[in-house]
Amino acid sequence: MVQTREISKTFYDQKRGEVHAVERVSIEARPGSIFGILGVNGAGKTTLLRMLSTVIQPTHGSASVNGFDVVTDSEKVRASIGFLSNSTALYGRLSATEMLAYFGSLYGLSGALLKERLAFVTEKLQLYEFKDRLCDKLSTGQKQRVSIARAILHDPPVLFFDEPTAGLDVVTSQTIMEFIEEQRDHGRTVVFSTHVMSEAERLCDEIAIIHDGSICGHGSLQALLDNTSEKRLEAAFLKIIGYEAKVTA
Amino acid sequence: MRPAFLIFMKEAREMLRDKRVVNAAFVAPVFMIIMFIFLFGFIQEKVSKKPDIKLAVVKDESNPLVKELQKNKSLNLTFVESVAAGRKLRDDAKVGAVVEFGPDFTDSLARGDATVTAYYDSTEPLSSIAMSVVRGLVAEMNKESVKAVLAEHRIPEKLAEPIEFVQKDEQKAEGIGGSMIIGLIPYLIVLWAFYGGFSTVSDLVAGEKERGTMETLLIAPIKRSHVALGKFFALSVICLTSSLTTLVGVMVIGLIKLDITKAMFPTGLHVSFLSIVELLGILIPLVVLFASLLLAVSAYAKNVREAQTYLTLVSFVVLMPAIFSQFIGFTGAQKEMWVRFTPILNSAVAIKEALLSNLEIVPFLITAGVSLVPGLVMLRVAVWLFSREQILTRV
Repeated sequence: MVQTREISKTFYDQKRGEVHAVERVSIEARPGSIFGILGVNGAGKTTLLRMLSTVIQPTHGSASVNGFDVVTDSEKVRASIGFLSNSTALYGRLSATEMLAYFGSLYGLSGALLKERLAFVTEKLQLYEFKDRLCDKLSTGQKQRVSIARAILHDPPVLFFDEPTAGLDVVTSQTIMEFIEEQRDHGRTVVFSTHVMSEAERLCDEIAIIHDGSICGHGSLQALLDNTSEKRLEAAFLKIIGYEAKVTA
Repeated sequence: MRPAFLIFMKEAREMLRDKRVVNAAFVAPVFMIIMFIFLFGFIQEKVSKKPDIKLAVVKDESNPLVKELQKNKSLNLTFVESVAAGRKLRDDAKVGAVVEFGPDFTDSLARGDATVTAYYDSTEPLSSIAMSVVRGLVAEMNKESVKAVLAEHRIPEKLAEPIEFVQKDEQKAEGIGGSMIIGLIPYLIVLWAFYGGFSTVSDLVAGEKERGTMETLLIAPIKRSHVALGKFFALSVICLTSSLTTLVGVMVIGLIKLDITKAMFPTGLHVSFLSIVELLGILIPLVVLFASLLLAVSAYAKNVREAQTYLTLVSFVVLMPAIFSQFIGFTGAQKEMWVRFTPILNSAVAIKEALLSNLEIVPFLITAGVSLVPGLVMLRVAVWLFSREQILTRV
């Protein structure tokens, strides 16, 4: 379970002054479902996920992940989550196995349990052929599979995906979406941020539309379509964020 | 502390696989000390052989002083028509100095008012040497002249030189301490304690921010202080080993036993156990200071490029006292309290004393403390920077 109550994040920028990246956002993502955060670039999706993963702290409001408060129980929150972004962020001079073992150890796995989990993710994500190769030498798709393996290595009950398919080819994107669906089917709580409407339509049980840091639409896909009298999520999204098409003669 | 250890091990593994780090932190120090030893050995070999001194002598080829000059086998005389012609040869490095005799030199010599002028260039070592050789010969001739006068008047010749000067070298240094480059070794040890870490630190934190791996690490269930400490320990080990590699370079040269280096280490190459203990006692606090400073700067920087700019500026601050340590011996201030309390400079001075086996306990403790206290303060700053989300998550 992931819950936020009126959570906000304000940055101070020397040029722009106070920047309200996220403002009073309240959401609830349940186990066994995919909660989508839909918004344009710079809407506040990543900031919200960074707060939920305790990389940064909220300036207002509260949030809990798997029953742990993101500020007061941040280590327990981090132990409960797996995080995957479009940036594969691997250590280039470690092999895939070395990197997974390193993160497994940081997540408190050791001995037989670590070996067992390594064997599981290696099998699950088909890492055999390149598991001993340095991460710098892997293809983008292979890197993404190692990233996924890292995210689920410690078997977390909550998974965050921050635009995981951005910049990836269609096959790799498909693999990731299948993986996300599978995690939902295993009863995990999945929070998924994207600006790709088709992905949100396919994956999300519930969608929150975020714009300029605030939630301006929230509900199931069907509820969003009904409320806006639109047939496609893209049109509903544009209507909700107040975008008006400019037609030039 | 297990997470800090895991991070340390991972960083160490990555560093050892990074050719840039291996070359900069381990190969370069050995290469540099070997280069220095060969260079100094070459110079010393040249200096120890009596240099072939070339003089231009204007016109007069038959006066008594010219005959004395010609008797000296280390001198090579070229006779020229004028001072201008001699100067031309000197400026072309064909001769070291130009010697001109006053008018009617031989007659003047008999009268006791002869003049010899040596035209030389004090900025050129060989020119100065040529001038001093001429001056020595003139002084010798003057002395002989005085002795002749004293003998004529039956006065003991010894009165021409009533004082006998006896010089005794009482240096006790042994092993590396007795080396010609003993002043250079502490400088290189200090220098590489900094540059060993310099070679990798921008990648260690700023680089991780830039590549996005830092955020992945921050999502792991570990304390940020452990992340900082793990990286600090890895950096410290690189700084320390890089620094000690200078001594390894000296040992390698010693094992090769080349003629050119024998003269450089007249008292051998060994370092006493106590010297090594003292050396580590000075070096470890210094490494704490350097590693924490480097880590704090890299943590503060947004990206690798910014980190390298800041680190270059910091390196000047570190280099200045290290370079000054080369010249402190000329000032006679090496044992003064202000030197003992000046970070980096005091370490270089104390390392030299440790290698010479004359480091006393109080200066040793002051030196270690002066490095360790600001080092620990800087480490606290680095750990604090790791807890600042504005610092650690900006790119």
